[in-house]
Amino acid sequence: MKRIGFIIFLIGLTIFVNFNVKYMPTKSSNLNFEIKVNSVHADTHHLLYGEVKFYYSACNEFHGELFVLDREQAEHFLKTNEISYTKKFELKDEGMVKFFNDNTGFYTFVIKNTSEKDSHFEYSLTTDNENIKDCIRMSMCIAVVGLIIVGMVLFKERDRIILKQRKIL
Amino acid sequence: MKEIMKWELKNLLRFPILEIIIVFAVFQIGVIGYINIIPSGGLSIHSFHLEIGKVTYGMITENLINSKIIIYLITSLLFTISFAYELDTNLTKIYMSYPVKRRDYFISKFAGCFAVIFLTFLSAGIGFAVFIDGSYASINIVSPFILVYMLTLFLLLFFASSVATTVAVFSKNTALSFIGTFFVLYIFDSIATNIKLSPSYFLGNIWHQFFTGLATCHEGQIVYHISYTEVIKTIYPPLFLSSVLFFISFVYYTKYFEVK
Repeated sequence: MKRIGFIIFLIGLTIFVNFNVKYMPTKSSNLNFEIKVNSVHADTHHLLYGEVKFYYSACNEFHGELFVLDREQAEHFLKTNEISYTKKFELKDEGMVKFFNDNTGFYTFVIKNTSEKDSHFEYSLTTDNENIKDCIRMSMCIAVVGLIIVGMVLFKERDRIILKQRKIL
Repeated sequence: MKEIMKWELKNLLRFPILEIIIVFAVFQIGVIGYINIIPSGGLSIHSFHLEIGKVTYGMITENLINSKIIIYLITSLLFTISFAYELDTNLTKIYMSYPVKRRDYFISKFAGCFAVIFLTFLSAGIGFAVFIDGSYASINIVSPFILVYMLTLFLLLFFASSVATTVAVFSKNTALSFIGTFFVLYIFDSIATNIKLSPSYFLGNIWHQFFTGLATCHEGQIVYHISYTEVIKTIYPPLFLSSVLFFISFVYYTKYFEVK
């Protein structure tokens, strides 16, 4: 048990080091597509914790909406084509939308064309390089759980020794 | 054979060998690399889940391929401990004095070392697939793309293990076995990048064939156009070389090997 705790501690520590030392790509490639009137386009991205910037560009007089969906919402959308969302933004011609992402993970972006004509749409995403606090926090939690297990075992062992010594006395 | 295997595993899992392997495995695999975008519109749930598994294991397999050197280092270490170090410390001599078949002894040692490294790296891969997004954990654990990761790991490990066993059995020296195995693997990997037998070549090909292969979408279902004949062509040369090396060291160990 002591060894298992130590191994859990090492795993947490290694992930913590990894997230602090190794490079993590924070920019997606540019995506181009045609979007028809009243139709939607959906892509799933892996987003890191922190501020996400969505840069977009479309034809003049473009009006649209951007929805950010989590797993349940994405599956509901794929099943029924109805959009329930965690975040919604208005899109117009070209610009940038930013929002704060609470958890690192996969998110589905649904872009809806609400203007009166078909349009060409292009977008890319960036996240801050330093923003993986949730992963770092989770790795620290793993390491602490390991330490707690080791500590508990050590305390139990110490108690057992003390009890034995008392019995001898 | 069971007893030898048990003893071998006990020997390999002692402190701090297992800890070292785990740390290296997590360090190698546990980082977020580039993740592809999944075009999700119009997909069925099943196809969407397949794509999530594909990009996750694509990233993990890429992490494994990019840092093969760690596998070389661990394989050299474990096979040296198992084969050459036991010769140096006369443990093999003691074992040979018991009614133990050399065949069983060799196979137990090889299988023990191989299983320890393989299972550690496999667990690290699956564990990290769960870690990168907890809400998709249930999908990543049962994704069929886990088999591609297993295949890549198996081929790389079998190749490194065969080389390590051959060097250890023929050198009969701890230092020579460790340094020799590592340098043979590293130099072969660096120089022979365009030869079909080189890990850089065949692992890269497997990754491309499975993770960047063409996929078409028909009525919401994704159809992956993986050319299995191409995959077999890629797998065959390293598998053949590894098997030949394994066979040579097995025959030498069981028939001609002298324990002084």
